[in-house]
Amino acid sequence: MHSRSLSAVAAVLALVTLGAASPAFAHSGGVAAGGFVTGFLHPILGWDHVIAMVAVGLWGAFLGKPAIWLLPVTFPLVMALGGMLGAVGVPLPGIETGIAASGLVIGLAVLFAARPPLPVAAVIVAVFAIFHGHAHGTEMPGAVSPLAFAGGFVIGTGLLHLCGIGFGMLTRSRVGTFAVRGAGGVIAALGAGFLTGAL
Amino acid sequence: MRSLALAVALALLPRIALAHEAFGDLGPFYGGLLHPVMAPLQTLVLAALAILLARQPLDGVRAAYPALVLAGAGAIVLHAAMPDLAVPMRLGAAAAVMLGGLALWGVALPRGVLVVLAMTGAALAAVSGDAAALTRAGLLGAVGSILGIAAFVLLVWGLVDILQSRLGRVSGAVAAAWLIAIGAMAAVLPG
Repeated sequence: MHSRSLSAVAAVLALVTLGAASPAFAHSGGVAAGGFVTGFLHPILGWDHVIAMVAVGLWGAFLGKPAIWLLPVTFPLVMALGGMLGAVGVPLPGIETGIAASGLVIGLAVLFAARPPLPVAAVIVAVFAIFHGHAHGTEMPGAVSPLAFAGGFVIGTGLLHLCGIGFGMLTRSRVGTFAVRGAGGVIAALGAGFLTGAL
Repeated sequence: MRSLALAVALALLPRIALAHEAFGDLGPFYGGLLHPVMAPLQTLVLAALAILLARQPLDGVRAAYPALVLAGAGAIVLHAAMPDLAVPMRLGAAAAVMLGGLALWGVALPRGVLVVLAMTGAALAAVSGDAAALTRAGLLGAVGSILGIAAFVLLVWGLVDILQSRLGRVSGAVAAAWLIAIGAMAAVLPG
């Protein structure tokens, strides 16, 4: 009997505590958490961004040198242009469509192992970079620390490229090439899903 | 019944549990030491300088690095004497973009030019921090800031240098491109 009443008290204690307690922060990040971390997670937690960034890295690996490094250098520079437009409030039509189309188009390029001339590949990637940059840049002024937010999303985007390049290195073997092209197909399918609104 | 009363009393007590209160309780020295990683504009300019140094021959870096630390120290002292001095966000961002552009270009600069760039950049970065008060705590904060600037630049320079030696010079170019992108977007921010 005593044990049952103790359990009931413990249950009440737990319920009331859960209802009344404030969140426990092991680290109160302040400005850094409100800016850098939010920016860093912005491209990483958006699947439409993730598939496109990884696809850029995969395509770069397919195209070989110097594209494997030229695309990750070009992308952030052009993305910054889109980010600047978004930050100052210049509207760009079809942002979400452009972002979804980037996954589809670059995914298809990886699936079919397309090897266009380097300037053509760079222009395709650059056009899509503006849409991605605009989407990030629009949210930048509202961040607690806009500069830290910008740093976060540029580094997050760059690391996603590096993931794609790392995976793309598998193209050195026949099986690996098959896996990478398959990944391109999956990315294209997801891009199509985002484009049609199915996802 | 007493247990229930105790439970209710305990439930009303909780507050946010702060295992570490960010950097508030570290004191002026460590606050200054960590300033380069906590003030985004200072971080940006110093990272630009470090990446530029990593893209330059070691001979130039040997001259530029001590000059950079001295200029940073001088600017911190000057800032303490003239606390109203401030670096606008756009000026700092533009400086970072210019330094990043030179780093991306990757051409070995004449030693004198590199020293002047390093000193100017370090002075800008130092002034973009908080002005040190003319007290013992302010002095400790200033010493911490000078050491923080020296350590941060050395750390980023070393990191990029290692990446370049392992993956090729293009990894430094990628870092420079990231930095230019951040700086360019910062340049359109108000302030």
